[in-house]
Amino acid sequence: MKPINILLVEDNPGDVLLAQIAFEKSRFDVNVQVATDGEEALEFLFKKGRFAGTNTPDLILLDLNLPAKSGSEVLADLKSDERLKVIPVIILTTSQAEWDIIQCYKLHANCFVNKPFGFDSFDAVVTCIEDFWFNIVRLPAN
Amino acid sequence: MDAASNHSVRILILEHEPDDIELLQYELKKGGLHYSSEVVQERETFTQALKDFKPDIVLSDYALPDFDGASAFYIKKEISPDTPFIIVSGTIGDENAVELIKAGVTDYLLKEKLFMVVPKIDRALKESREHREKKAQEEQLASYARELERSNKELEEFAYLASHDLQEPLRMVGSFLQLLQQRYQDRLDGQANEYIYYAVEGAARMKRLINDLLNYSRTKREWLIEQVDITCTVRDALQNLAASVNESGAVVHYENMPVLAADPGQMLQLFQNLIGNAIKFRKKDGKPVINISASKMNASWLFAVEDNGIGIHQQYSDKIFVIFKKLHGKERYEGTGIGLAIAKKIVERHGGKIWFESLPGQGTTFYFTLNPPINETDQYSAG
Repeated sequence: MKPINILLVEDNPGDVLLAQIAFEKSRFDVNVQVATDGEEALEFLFKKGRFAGTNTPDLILLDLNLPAKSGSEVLADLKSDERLKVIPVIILTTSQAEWDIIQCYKLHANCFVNKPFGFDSFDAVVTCIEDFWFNIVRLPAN
Repeated sequence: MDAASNHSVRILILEHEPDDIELLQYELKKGGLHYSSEVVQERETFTQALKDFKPDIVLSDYALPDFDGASAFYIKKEISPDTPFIIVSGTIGDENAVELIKAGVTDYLLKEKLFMVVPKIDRALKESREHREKKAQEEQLASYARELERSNKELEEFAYLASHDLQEPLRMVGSFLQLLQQRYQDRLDGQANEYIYYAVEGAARMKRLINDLLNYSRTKREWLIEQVDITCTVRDALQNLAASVNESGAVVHYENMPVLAADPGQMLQLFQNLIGNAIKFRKKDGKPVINISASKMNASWLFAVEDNGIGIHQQYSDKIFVIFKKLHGKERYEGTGIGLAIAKKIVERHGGKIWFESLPGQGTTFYFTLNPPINETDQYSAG
């Protein structure tokens, strides 16, 4: 089975580490790439500069609170590109604001998930994400 | 300023007939008015006098050779809109008088009734003063209201931001402590594990506090008024509390609940908090029995939520409604101590009061009033 590539766009190193720990335990073969801000994420996805020749991720986990370019701006850019818009984007954020939720769905985020409190809950969410997106859902063969 | 005060009333007289001027001055003196006056005849001198002399009131003839009272009035309206303006005329005609009064002229005085000049001046000045005061009060009130609105909004935003921003670092603390607890348990001694336990516990409690703070600050926000059937409210509250109701075997009686105008979400929160407390603070080996009743008192409703729980000492009557204040250690009863603070906020938002009567060891009854806005045919619900 070929490895699944996930792009995690997250600026908080603590949250990056938690995500990596959670995906490490996965029964799937998951390769987590990390971009620590919006610009880097887009460069990676457009395979610009040092990112030439990298894999296109199968799934994107996107935080909203990013420095400089915000998560929703990145989302808008992604979903307006013909090639990148097919990659499922999961918004993973602490914000519970109704406005953020609506905005993200309007910008065609595939779903909106709150980062839960405590590692166990976070782990459970990650397991859920894997089960759904890698097991139940059909993704394009690319 | 009026005749009764010691201040001299400044009168600007627009009149060209010397005889009429003399008569006017005669009646003013005869009326006992303390005044000083300036007499003008033309547009330019009238306009200048308004600015320089700054009269408290204008007495104007209706028709002059090169000018007229109506034009003078409009000039005065431009320069000093609040100064009273009385037309003095022999030949004004009813329609013209009505037109002018509609346009804002304070009063008119017939030349054959010149003796009325001082009472009319008094009345005009009095009304003008009262109008000024009322305007000042309204402006003051509007200013307070704006400031309050602004301050409230700021506070809400602050509470939201503070709790929102506090969550992230807290998540870090909570998550990594938990990981430490799980993955290093075998490598640490009992004491270290105990330290970690309290740290994890502390982070979790702080998380709950922040959530409750967010809820508390939100309680001010959306504020609907609809017809709320309290029977349904209580039913919904009990459904939300299903777990503790089942666990405790609680029995809740609630007949004859009214339908009244209120915010449905807040009513639910209110009843849920009170019933939840009644169940939580039950006697050790007792089954909670809770009676909810309602009665109409004039325009308001009086509710009572009675329980057979552990009771509260009356000396804490003020403390228990304070946010985050608890009467028991956190080990004994869980919760952040915000339930009653929210309940009080909701009751007060509905124009009511909340208090309790209690016998420690026997039970407590929480009373609260609700004042639904105006009429609405409040009735008892169909159940």
